[in-house]
Amino acid sequence: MHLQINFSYNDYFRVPSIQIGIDDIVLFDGPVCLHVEFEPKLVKGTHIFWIAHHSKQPHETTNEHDTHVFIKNILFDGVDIDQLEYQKLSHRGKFYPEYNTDYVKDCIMNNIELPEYFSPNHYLGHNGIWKLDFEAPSLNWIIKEQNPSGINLEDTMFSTGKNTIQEIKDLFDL
Amino acid sequence: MIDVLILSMPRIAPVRPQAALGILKAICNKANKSSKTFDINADFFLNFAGDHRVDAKAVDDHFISNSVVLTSDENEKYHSWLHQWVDKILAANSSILVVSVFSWQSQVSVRDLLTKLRPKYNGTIVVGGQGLTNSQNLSAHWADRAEYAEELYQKKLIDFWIKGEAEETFYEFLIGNREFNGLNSHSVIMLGDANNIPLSDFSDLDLGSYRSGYEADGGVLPIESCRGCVRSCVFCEMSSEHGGLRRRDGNALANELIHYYETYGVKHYYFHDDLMNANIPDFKNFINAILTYYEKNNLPDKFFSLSGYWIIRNPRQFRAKDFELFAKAGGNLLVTGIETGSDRLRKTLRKGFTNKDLDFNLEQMHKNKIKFYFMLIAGLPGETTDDFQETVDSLSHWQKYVATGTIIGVNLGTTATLEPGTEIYNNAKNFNIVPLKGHEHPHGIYWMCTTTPDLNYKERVRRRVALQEHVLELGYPIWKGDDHLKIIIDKYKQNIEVWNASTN
Repeated sequence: MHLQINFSYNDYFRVPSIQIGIDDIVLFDGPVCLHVEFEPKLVKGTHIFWIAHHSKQPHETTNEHDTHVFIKNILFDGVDIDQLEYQKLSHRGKFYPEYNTDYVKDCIMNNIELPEYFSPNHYLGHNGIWKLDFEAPSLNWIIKEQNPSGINLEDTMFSTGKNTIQEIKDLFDL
Repeated sequence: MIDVLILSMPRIAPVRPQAALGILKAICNKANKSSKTFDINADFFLNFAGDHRVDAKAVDDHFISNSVVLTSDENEKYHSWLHQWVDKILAANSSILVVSVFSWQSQVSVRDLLTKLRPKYNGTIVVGGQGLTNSQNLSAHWADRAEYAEELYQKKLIDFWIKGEAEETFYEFLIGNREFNGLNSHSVIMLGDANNIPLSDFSDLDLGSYRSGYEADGGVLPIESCRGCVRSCVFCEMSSEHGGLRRRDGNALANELIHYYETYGVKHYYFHDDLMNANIPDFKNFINAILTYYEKNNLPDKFFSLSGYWIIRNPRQFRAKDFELFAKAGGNLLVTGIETGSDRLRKTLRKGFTNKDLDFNLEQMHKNKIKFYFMLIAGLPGETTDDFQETVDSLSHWQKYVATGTIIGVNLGTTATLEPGTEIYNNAKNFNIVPLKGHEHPHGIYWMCTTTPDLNYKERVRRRVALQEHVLELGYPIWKGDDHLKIIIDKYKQNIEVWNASTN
């Protein structure tokens, strides 16, 4: 699989630190870059793609500046998974923040309930991990989930099923 | 009472009116004959199939397969539908009935209708069209014989057939001439100047009723940029038999399209000719004329949509900038015979492009949001296992464009056949092709290639099935896959000796 990710970020205090991985494999660990790409070897089936924002300190949020990472876009095998306005696959990703303890206290005092995760969300302001479930091969997953051609041939004179394939295989002993 | 009633019969995808309907009516106008058009094909797929879905599916199979026997219920519904049309045709009270036989797939419905109609209709019945021959892959215009028309004539179901490109001969017929080549004869009639194709008259048809995907936008109309083909693919009779390339002036073509828009309000066009980009200077003139019309009339880019058959050009012939302009003019869906993923084999077929050219075209289509539909042929003469593997690998390589929505369909056909009129048929020995036992000349599926002795009919079918399984696995939208497999099954059952012979 060819994985490409484009980020933007606020580096007023420092360049944010991230890890990128799939399942238990860490693909990247260090200061965020505008663009990264990887060639992970994946077995067929379901996987979790994740981006963790870490090491942010409480003083790195002010009224003017906030250390954060923004996921601009993600390409699986060269295809932007958000290519369709009405079917952005990155919007299925969930960001699980690790809330700062002082921030949690403030919220409790102000009766603000903190969610377990944000979705859709591309703004990694808190420390925490953004996770997206997907399947390999990734192009099959995109095709299955988005049907980018918009073609639905079932029940039309153009349809193709599995019964006729079986019939011809039986007939020709294939 | 009208002079001429024009019919279109199943089986054609009901996505737009058949070009012949509009052209024939325009020729009637020119000959000062009153006319009416019935698109019975559209009624079958849009109305009958809507009311009787399961029965219509069986009848549809009956149109293309000799082995399909309709149940009494299916038969009753089908014949009741035909009877309704016989009544409507008689009520139209025409002197001449013209039936367009679009392809071999229309032959069953035409025969069934005329069998009911002939005893009751006192006028003159004429048939024409590419389906007048009994070949599945060869246009009757260029075939040696119009066997199907002969059959109808001998059964006294018709009075005349007109063979060939009939823009000029149909006019002669309408003005009373009964002595011209192509009338009840097997002559090959060619329209000399494609610029003489008249502006079609579609005024009888409800253009928004077709299942075009653009129903709410007024539907789709057919248009053609040329006659004949610019290429010389060895397996295709179009280059050798279709009268050579006859170009249409690009500016005149743009004016024709604009005329249809201004007359019918239609914005979507499908080029049904062999190749819409056959003559590059004309095609570029056409694009520029459309863009000029947009500018003069303050219309946005892509106001029209333009789709049709496309030959892959290399980046020097049709550049990235040309794709950009074409997309602005309305380039929408392009249809190409890729045939194989093997450059070696494609070169022997004389397709005139490489996988590198194809990659450039695909990338430009992707960048400019133009859609692509392509055809492949399994088991081409001389296809080695390596060639076949390259096709399989290419399909994997092109999957990216399925995922971007650029590729909207693949058509795998019915395995390679050898058709009269093609170079590979005419010069079979040069291609190391021999007939199967019991056949004098290699033709249809009755052939073997001596350089690829393992590629017998069973292996060709195996590769065809393997391609279908592969594209299904990759998520390609595959069109007519079942249709084509049913045709293979039907052909096999009719010609069981093919398999026996090819395994000897």
